[in-house]
Amino acid sequence: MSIVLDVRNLKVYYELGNGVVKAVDNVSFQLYKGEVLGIAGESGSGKSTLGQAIAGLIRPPGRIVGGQILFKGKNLLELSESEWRKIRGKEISVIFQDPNSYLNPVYTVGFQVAEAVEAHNGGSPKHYIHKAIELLKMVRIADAPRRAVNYPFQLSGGMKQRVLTSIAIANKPELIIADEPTSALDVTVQAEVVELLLELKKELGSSMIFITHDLPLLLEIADRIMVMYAGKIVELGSSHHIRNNPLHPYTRGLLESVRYERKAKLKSIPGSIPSLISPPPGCRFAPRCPFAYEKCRKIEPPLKQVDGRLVACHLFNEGGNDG
Amino acid sequence: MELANTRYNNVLSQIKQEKTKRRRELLETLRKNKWALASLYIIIALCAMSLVSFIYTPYNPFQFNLAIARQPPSLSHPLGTDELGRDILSRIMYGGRYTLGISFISVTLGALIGVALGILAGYNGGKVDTVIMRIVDIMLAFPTILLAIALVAAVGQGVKSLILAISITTFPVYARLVRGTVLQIVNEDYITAAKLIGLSSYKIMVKHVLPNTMSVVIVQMSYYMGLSILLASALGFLGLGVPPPKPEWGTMIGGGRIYFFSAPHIVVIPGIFIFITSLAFNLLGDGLREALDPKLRGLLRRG
Repeated sequence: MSIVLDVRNLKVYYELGNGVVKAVDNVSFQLYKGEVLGIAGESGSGKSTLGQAIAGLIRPPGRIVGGQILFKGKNLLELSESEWRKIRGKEISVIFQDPNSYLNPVYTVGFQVAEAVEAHNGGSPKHYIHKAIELLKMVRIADAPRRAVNYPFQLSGGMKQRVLTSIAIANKPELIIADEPTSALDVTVQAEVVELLLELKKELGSSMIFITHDLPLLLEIADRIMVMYAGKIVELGSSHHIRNNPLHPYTRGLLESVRYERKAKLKSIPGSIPSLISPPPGCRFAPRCPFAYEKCRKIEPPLKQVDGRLVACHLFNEGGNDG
Repeated sequence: MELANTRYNNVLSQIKQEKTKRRRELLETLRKNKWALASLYIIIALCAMSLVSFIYTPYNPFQFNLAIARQPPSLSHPLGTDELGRDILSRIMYGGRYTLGISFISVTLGALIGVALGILAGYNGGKVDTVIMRIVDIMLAFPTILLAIALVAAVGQGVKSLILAISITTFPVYARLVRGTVLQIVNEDYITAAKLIGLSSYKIMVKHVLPNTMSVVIVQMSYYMGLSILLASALGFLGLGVPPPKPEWGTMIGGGRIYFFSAPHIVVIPGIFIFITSLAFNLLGDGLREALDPKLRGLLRRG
């Protein structure tokens, strides 16, 4: 399988008045063509910052301090603004969390979809109205021609998320970054939107990065899952591995904190994400980890290959099952 | 293809319908505010009056006749005659084109410059912002009327320099207002979204930022119509506006001021027109603000 996206030692820091927040700290991973990579983690784990970095959306006080983001072999961090413009919306698209604010209130949704087509094809948005309606149909908006002339405030949240999805797929991008696309929607609508995204992805042959705090959802939809904690990857492996045998205590915690069966007791992970300005030495999860021992508090665990996936934890030995 | 075309035309006509519907809603809100509505009618009437002066005035507004100078309102001269015996009604009608025209052009010009600078400053930030806003600060530091007087004195008296003076003294206010609005808008997610579909900065400024500043600008323009009328009249009164014998309303007051006690109507009547016009634009501005900003609906209506 060919690699679409290759992130190498990426560091994104926020330089604030009282210190430097290391939101993404030395993260490396690859995304293969046609793959759905799920990124899971709590708020503050750096997962959204990572998504923004790939889309070139990091703004001051945020700064990409080091590393490379290779998209089809090109380092995105070295692109000029005009080179970026050719990639954004055409080769890389983003779908965001809150559909209510990502549509301009003064234009009809049809116009905004048409504008996305126009941005990379030239001409005037008016020429692409019929194309826009096709796209709205693709995201299964009922009565698309009539909806096209509605303003965003006339549509429901789920409908708006579909419109944004149609904007994202307007130019058949190779990479779709979905940043918590369902978090602001009703549960019933969530399932529909997720299903739609997966189908469109398959239809277009795109790759997808699906960012969410909902690890069980990722188990259903992702090919591989990357669990992040405090700006670092703690576990990266196939959904199969993570579903059947989560290794890192944090991954386990995330899974246990969601109710699977009616009788299972709901557990929570004690404590909260540490300050990223002065993270604890050693393993960043150690203060909250029930299995932490001396070594965890002193030495930072490297990512190592264990049981078919990557884990950053001292509890496991390279190549082995348990340590 | 045939089918696609008809559908395409259907959509376009529907967009048109949707737009007229929105416009109707706006007018509806405006209509409920009786002060704004009355103001709108007054403004329309005043504009009509000025337009009528192009084809008809009761008397020649420039024809003087000292025999009937300073006559109070009568049947033959409904608003009386001025210090040179010219019919005041005719002069008011004729003068409307100066007072209203100058205000309208200078407000539009000021808004164009101000909005462009405000968007540039707010959208780009950094050095561009600093440079533009410091210039604006300097302009705002001068008292409006003083700056206008200085400009007219430098450029020379006349309609053009009056328009120039008013627009130059008012554009900084638009710039500052629009910049503030733009600073809010650039943080909106739909601007991020516009960047993400690959639009250029220019297109984002013109198509996504500008329309969202319009409601603020329109309201401010309405207020500034009132202010410009006052400014044009004040300069006219001081002899720096439209030169006599052209009957700009402020100039008329200036010409008649020495007869204030013997024939007050020469001064009072243009004054009333200035007052009413200025007030009408201000009240219309309030009404527009209410209609364009749904959050204010009902809040302002109590007054």
